[in-house]
Amino acid sequence: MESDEGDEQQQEAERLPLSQRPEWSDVTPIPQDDGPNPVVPIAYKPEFSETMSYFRAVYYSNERSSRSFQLTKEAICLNPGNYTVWHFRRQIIETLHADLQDELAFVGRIAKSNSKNYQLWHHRRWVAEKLGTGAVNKELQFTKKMLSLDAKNYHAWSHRQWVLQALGGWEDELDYCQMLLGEDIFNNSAWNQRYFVVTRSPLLGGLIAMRDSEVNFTIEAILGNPENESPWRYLRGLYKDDTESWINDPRMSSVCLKVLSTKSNYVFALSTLLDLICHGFWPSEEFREAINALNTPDSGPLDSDLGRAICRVLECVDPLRCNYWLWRKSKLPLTVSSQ
Amino acid sequence: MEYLATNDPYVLWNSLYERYGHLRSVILPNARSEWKPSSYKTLSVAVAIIVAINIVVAMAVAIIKVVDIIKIIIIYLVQQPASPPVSHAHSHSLLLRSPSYSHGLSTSHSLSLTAVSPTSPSFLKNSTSASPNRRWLRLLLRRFPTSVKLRPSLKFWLKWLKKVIKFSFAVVKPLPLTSLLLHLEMGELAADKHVKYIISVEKKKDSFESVVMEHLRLNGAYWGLTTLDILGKLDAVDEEDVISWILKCQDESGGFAGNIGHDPHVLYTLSAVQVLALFDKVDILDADKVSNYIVGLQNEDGSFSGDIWGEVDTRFSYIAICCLSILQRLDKINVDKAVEYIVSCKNLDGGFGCTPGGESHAGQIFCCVGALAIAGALHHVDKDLLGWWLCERQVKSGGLNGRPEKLPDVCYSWWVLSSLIMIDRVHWINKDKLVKFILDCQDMENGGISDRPDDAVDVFHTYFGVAGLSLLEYPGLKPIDPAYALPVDVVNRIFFSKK
Repeated sequence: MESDEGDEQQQEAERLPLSQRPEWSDVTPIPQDDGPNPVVPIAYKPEFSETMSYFRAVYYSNERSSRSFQLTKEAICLNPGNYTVWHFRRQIIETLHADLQDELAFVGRIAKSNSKNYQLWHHRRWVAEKLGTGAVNKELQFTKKMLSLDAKNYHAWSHRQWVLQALGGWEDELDYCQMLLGEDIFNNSAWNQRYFVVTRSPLLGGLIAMRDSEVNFTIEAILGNPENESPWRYLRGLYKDDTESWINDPRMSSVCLKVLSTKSNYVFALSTLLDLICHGFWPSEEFREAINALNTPDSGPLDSDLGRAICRVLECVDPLRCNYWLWRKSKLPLTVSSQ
Repeated sequence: MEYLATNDPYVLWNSLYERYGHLRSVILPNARSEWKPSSYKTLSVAVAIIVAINIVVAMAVAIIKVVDIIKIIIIYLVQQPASPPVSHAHSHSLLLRSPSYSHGLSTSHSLSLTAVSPTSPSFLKNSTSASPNRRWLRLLLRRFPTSVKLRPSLKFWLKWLKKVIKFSFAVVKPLPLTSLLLHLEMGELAADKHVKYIISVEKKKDSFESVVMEHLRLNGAYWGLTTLDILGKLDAVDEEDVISWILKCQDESGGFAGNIGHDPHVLYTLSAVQVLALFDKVDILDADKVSNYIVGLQNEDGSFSGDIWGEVDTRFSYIAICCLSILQRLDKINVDKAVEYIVSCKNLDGGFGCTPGGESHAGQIFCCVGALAIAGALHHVDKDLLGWWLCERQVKSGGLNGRPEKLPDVCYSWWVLSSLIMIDRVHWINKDKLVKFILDCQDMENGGISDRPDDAVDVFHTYFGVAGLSLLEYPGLKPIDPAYALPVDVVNRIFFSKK
């Protein structure tokens, strides 16, 4: 079977046209048929059209040989979005029982320049599925490498989640999330993965068991960067379906208070406090004082109802979403006052 | 906004009544409060502009008057002093001839000098008799007659200002003018340029777009043709050509490929059905054949694969439900199971991912919300929570991103916007700023829209930009259905015409 050595790009630079290669002399290439008046006429590079013409020839004749396998590799390098070439390559792999480890290596080599290509990731998943649990470490390594290039690559995260659920490898996942968050605390994908691990890992004991340590970690992240949307949502998610515990946990309101006292980046703190109040939390006098301290001059005299006061401040400091805050104000339970 | 699919008139009545109640109690007051601030803003902008124009004009007129005065002085000084003064011009000429007068003229406001009309008989008589060789000066004065009143005093200015303000308010009152000014403020949609761009994609041999588009040309056709239809220019393409080419893309399995000679996939099947719907030619298809292809791709857990190779994604759930709905074969799949799978992809922030546990992403959210809307299952969506997540996508520049802490992109102005409309929460974003962002992404010279201002354009983003503007009710665009992503008249034609 073909062992792909050397850089793909270097091969392209030294490329001999297919019509001049002896092993292809018996094949008649089939040119692209766009019809007499193409709808969206497209111009092609000569090497592209030649490669695709030869591809069409072997595809229509269903030739599953090593030369067509090599040809699919060239066609993929020219246009990695062409899903038919990937399909045919898979059919050839099945027919010829090609080396799957080599295949993983090939995908790994072209992944860097095609990190957001659906076909590439699906192909990788197909190969990994065939290899089974033996591929776990390699796949986790591969996604780790791709995420080091772009920590928010949706395909990479989706693949990693599939690997964990289908093939295992949960042991180091929480630490990996920790590391990524250490590099960029704003990485929403890493927060999402953390939630994924905490709720679904068979090794960690479930959400409720993990809740305490997770809350502490999240609060630390919030206090470091209160304008970060992700940890606020994560904090709410830790108490999913358990509103009672959420409003009764003193850490929830205290983190809001701490952020409000700093008088900067307090939009999410205010909205979280508003949510707490709407679900039955009774704010103490210090909350009222903190809100008073924020009072911007153009919002007028402060409302006696703390919920309404919060909404008014939010309308001023987050004017892009003022309609949302107006609506929240209209939906407030009627009598909510401080103790 | 949910699609009501029920036969029982009692149920239908109650749903409609509930929807009316929601519109009246929530949407209307919000729309009113939204209108007020922006209307006051545009009114004040309009008033300011008109007052400024008037002041400039008044000053120009005043300047001309001062120039006239200087002209008169020059003429009189240049004239022979021997001209005998005539009765009513007597005092004037005496004053004019005094040298101190000419120096003090520009600063003196108290002079009760009335500029002499060059056509007054006395003046002409004077000049003709005094200076026969200064005919050119006479002609000059005749060309630029000075007006009677020349009094740049404070009282004059105050009166003028009052007139200007009154006039401005009278003009500003009717609203069409203010909305016109609003659009001048925002910039314009270069519709003709975009049409040209789509119709003739440049034949550049090394264009990246041309190389990668070949296998997904059916998607490209959908993006381009729907944009043309929204801009009212669908007749610019040859319908027969398009339809015959699309039919060649159909595989024996019933599904469609991205182009002739490729393998079938649901992505292209939906685009094919949508393009045929634009031309009102869905009935040339064997609906059962196409729907069987899709039905065969539903998995046990209710999810859908993209094709025989088994990739699973909520995008394909949307595609299946939308496509079967257009073909009116939705009952062929297990809708409840499909809905169940989509709901399993719901996250703690109210959003949806590509698979259960996948991060919430605006594109995936559009697919899930759209699928639930078409299937009549929007009650599974926490509209308030999701609405807030979606409106948090708007960044300072007015554009929308797809996930927290990412850059804005024009394609999200479709996915986020249509999702907000489907859950009745679109008033939670600032629409004006979003319109401005999309218009800033246009290439005003060559046509087309890019993902961000000053980036390269492509058909994909041109479609999403124009569709987004249509959802924002930008004038001159056909309304588009947020769930089916087709013009509303096309959707109505499918469901409400002869059966």
